[in-house]
Amino acid sequence: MSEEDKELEVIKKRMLRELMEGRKEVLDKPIEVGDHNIEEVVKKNPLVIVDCWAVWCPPCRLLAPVIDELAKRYAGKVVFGKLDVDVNPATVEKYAIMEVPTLLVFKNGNYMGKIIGYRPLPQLEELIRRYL
Amino acid sequence: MTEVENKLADLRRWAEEYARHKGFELNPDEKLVDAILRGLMRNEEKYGVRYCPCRVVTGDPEKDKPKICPCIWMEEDVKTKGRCHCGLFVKGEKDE
Repeated sequence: MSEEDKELEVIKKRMLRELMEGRKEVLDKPIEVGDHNIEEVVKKNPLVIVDCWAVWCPPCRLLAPVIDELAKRYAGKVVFGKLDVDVNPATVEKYAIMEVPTLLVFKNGNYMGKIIGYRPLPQLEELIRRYL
Repeated sequence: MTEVENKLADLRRWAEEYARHKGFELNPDEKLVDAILRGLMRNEEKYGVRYCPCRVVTGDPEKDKPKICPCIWMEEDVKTKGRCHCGLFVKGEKDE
């Protein structure tokens, strides 16, 4: 093997490693959750927070960037989900969601409770840290 | 003014008048107020009544009745939390 080949081999290995690491990249943004997959998402992840929102709800729109930021800050620790209440009636009924936005908190597959209404980032972060 | 703008202006006058009547104010966040009024307008078009856009409408008129803006929780929320759940009505500065 020539020096050039050896060098190419090293580069190849590095690229492969980077590719594999890239695949394991942690989730840093909210995922779509609905009646069809909420159970599965909750079972697969130790801490899940589902933002139940509606298109016409202004505080839901205010909360969206807060959830995006928290998903980045707690990537790998908390999985954030987004659930549209208008098209997921089973979840709405099961957890008696009356207002939007409502956050559902699940730890180790168990439903822990709700956080109702818009909260600014520092306040919501404090509430979420209690579940870590 | 377009028809929508006219309706929004009417709705705003109604909300302002109602807030004044109760000794409250509309949220100083104009964008939020505008978005809530549009949500109320949409619900009126869809359901025939102004359901709060921050509450889940079940389709059962009896169950949904308390959610018509101003909802039955509004006054208590403004008095205890400073604002209603959706944020349209807030406690007046003079009440602070």
